[in-house]
Amino acid sequence: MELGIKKKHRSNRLQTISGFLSFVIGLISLAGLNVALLMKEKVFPGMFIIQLPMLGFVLGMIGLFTRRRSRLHAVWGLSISLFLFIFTFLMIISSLGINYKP
Amino acid sequence: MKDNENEDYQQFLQESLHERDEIQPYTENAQIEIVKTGKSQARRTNIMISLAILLLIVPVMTLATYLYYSIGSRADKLIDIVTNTIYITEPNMSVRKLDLEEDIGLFSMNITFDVFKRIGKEDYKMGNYDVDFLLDQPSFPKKDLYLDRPLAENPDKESEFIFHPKANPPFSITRGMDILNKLPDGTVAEAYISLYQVMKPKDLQNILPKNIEIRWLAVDTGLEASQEDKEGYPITPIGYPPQYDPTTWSPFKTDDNEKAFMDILTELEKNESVATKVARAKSLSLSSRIAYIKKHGIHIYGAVLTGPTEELRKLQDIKEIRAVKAGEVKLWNWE
Repeated sequence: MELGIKKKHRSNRLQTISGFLSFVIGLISLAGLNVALLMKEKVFPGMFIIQLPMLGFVLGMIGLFTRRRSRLHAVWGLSISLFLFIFTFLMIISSLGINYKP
Repeated sequence: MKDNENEDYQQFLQESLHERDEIQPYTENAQIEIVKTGKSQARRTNIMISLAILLLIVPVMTLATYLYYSIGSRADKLIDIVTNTIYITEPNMSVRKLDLEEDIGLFSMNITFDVFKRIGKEDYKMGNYDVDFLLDQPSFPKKDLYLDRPLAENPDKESEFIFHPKANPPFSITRGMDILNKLPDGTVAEAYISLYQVMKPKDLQNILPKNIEIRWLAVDTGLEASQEDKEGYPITPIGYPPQYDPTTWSPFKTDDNEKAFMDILTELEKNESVATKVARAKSLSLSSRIAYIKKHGIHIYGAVLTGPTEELRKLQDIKEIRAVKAGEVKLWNWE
């Protein structure tokens, strides 16, 4: 039996655009966070830990619910955004527990 | 019934075959293009995932370090050990914990703080400490002290300023008053005194001139006569400031400094390796010293005083005082 693919299914496995954008935004946010950590910045730039991850989160959610497309990029973008939110939250909590000055 | 099923089956088979004939196989170029697209997508995805994993390393390690130091207030406990060690091992030295700076690195912490001495009526900044921790293990502190008459960094029997009644004092102790006698009036100074007999902290106040403030008391812990521990390592005096300390978060911001002193000793005993790194003496022998104090009570054999220089000169006439050594000197600030 000859193998073939119906034309209408041709782009099924393509990544979603929103998922891809979410992943890229997640990577940019992580890169910015790395720079801030390695430069020992006292105040983290909010853009890399709040604004961009929020955008990445929304795009990731859209990518996650897009049907008939691979959701790999969307899952990664969403995971990175979630990690950045958890990171920010835990860093604030733990910073308050180290030599806290009112 | 069976004929109907067979008929349905044949019909379905025909439909499927017809559908299959409709499938148009890809041309060779189209197949190459599909493979190329697939390969480039897979490569791009691999690169992005690898990049994400690499970029996660530093944040994850940083977060782990912050959690390590914050859970159970580990960092605060280490800071307390360092500052309390200074209070009880460095005569007339205090720390303003509110100004203490900490810096958390990867699995490490650095703390820096200034140390102060009260000369006369004012506190003077006398230097700063810089202590690095790798997790909970400190390095030897980097000290930058601006003292005119510092205590020896590697203590020995000759270089100490306060001596137990049963210890053999060095010859230089007889010349301790020379500096005070040659200082002009109108200055304030710090003086280290050694007593002929151990006594209760309250009794010392009664024998001193009124215009002198006691800043630190050297407590008899049973090892000061030999000035070394059981293994033969030199030890330095330990003691406490007897007066109320209004400094924020000072352990001696209390009316019962003797109790605060014992509490600190007990706490330091649990973390003696950290305290020993910070102290000048490389042995604190806290368990045996605590046991001695609990058995005999708090008795003192020396003290650090401050006041106008002309008042401090009167110390040589007090029969209970065996020796006086001058410490830091500053311009008049007594009134």
